[in-house]
Amino acid sequence: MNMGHLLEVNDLVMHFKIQDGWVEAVDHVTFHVDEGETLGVVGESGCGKTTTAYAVTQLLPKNAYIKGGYIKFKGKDLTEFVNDDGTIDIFNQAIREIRWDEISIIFQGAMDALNPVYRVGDQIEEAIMAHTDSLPGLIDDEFREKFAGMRVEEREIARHRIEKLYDIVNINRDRIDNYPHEYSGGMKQRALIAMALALRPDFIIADEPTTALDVITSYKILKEIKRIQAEHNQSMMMISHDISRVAEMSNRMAVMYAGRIAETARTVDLFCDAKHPYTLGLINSIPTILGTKEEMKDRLKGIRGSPPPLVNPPKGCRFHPRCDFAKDKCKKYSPKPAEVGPDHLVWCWKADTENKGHEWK
Amino acid sequence: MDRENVVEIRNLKMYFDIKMGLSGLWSKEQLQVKAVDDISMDIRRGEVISLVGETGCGKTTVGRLILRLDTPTAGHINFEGADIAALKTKQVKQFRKKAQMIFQDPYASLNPRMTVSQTVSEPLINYGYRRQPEIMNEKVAKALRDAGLRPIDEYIERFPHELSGGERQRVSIARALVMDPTFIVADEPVSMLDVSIRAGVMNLMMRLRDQYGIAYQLITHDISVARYMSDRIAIMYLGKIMELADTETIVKRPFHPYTRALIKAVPIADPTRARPDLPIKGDIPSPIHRPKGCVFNTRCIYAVDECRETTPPLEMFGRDHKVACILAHRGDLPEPEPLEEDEACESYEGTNDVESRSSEAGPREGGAP
Repeated sequence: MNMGHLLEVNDLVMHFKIQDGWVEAVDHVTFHVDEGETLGVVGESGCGKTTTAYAVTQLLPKNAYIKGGYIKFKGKDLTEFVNDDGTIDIFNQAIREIRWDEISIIFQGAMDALNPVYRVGDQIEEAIMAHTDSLPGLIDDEFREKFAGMRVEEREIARHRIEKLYDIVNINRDRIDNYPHEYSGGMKQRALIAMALALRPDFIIADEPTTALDVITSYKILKEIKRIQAEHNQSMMMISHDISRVAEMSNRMAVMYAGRIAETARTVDLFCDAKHPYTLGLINSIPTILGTKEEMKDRLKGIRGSPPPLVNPPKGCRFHPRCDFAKDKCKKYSPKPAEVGPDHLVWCWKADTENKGHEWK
Repeated sequence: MDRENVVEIRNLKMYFDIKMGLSGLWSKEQLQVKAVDDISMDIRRGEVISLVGETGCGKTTVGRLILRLDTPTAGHINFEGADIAALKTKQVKQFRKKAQMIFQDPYASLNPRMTVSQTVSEPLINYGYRRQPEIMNEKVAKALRDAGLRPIDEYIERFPHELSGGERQRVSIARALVMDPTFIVADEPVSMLDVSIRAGVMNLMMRLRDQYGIAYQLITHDISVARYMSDRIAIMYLGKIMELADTETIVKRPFHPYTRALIKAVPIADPTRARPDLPIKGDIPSPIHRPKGCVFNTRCIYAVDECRETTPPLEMFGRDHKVACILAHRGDLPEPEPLEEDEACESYEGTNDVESRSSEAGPREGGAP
């Protein structure tokens, strides 16, 4: 089982240097994504979920320092490209070849991710043309037929690919040469999905892909993403603060809190058999339309307090100031992962103790 | 007027003229966005009523109109029996005291240079309490306590940047509470907050309703939030109310095709659940060129020719249930599908059993081509 991970992140530590010290944004984070699988990453704003994902593609600002751990993609350690002092060279050629070609990102906020002064088609073309090595791979039978016996320019391959992509994401081909302001919010998001799919990546990072959209549009787009992903057998990491949206989309989930992973498990296990007090609190924070109103009123408690800053976060377990079960041990030592079930890890002393058959006291 | 009602809205319209570019100079027709188009509804004493709809449906505009922050194009709003458009200056001051607002963004709606106590006491100062500092301080302390900012000594001298998002929203609630309002417009009060602190703020608002009988108009895009907090829900689409009923009817037995689509689109935290196609087509049309007849007809899967010609009024459909749809009234719509109840975890028997179920419904369904 451990051999086949498409992406394996182990004990990753990535801190930002700021004037007053260090922001411990990603702290000993461990997770993996298998082929064809969707990992949902949930957590509140500032918990490090986006930063973790961007660390995989090493799209990080200059003050980011990778201080430990590794990121293995298809068995290759991507942290090898990190400079000796831990900083990241975003222009490193080796990582640039992987980026978009093999790992692509559907960016958060469709409204801002497209450049308003260029046609949408040209922006997708730019992404494709930056990877001319993979152009031959984009030639399909339809293209061969269309251009049989003709000399083809590289741009035409890209153009053909964009037309195909627009079919995949369900936008009319006539809209390729429109500017972003001529698109609706949903269409912009679809265009971004098209861009992420352009080079047939094996792994897609979807960062809050529909947060800015209305419920109906968001439902349709997530359904589309799921369909496309199944057709191409792509793996995905979906990041969101909306635990129910993520549950709909993913096979496995990772819950993050204050720069660390709290719990990872298959989605059903996470919902029906959550072990971390934070996961339980999160599940009991979302109102639903199911069941009776009284049931919901009993359930909806939220979590007291609020998430800590990541400069000087709490010692020990970072959740302990908000946890109802916290004991002295939690205040002193950071929890080690406890395997409470197959593929189900919990970073919690209480779960660890109970898992060993002892009472938590 | 009905003494039961705090607010009565009658045929309210708000049209915004839009400025066109050069081409506008030649066209004779003045284009308008009908943000609110002929809305009538009542808000009862001590009730929570939600306006739910997608971006641009006019829900925030209705809230602003009720608070007299905008002047409507046509129609009337009565607040406790008096037409708010006809109030004299002194009466406006009384009205402003009773009708308050909680804003969406707790990071933008507090003055960063004012401490918590300054923010909360400012409305009191506007109403002449400056000369009675003891009463004022007592009122501020009570509002802060009611808003759950306890112990108050810890908060009173803090600035907004020293507070978390949830605490800031509690300060805005305290600021609204300090004038003893009977009615509060809450515009997306929790959508900017972290998930884990939303429940706390929602529970607080409901406790205040129970304690002081404050009526809320809640403006939200999230049906789950509306369901949790409100007694009644009004569904808006392109400036019109499509359906208005008590919360459980809207959620469990909706009759307008748009409401049905909205309910189906609500995310449900269950990975095993199949996601059907929504009973809705196309995208929201431009609010400038709204469809003729029923505004929803371009997206409705049941629409007939008549829907493209006549605008359906919001008519009584059942007890406390109004629907604006010709087909629903005629009985031409299928019965609402019962909501599948939450059984995901009831049949949960641990991890081994799950393997088969989760892979059935997982995204790999259909397999690789």
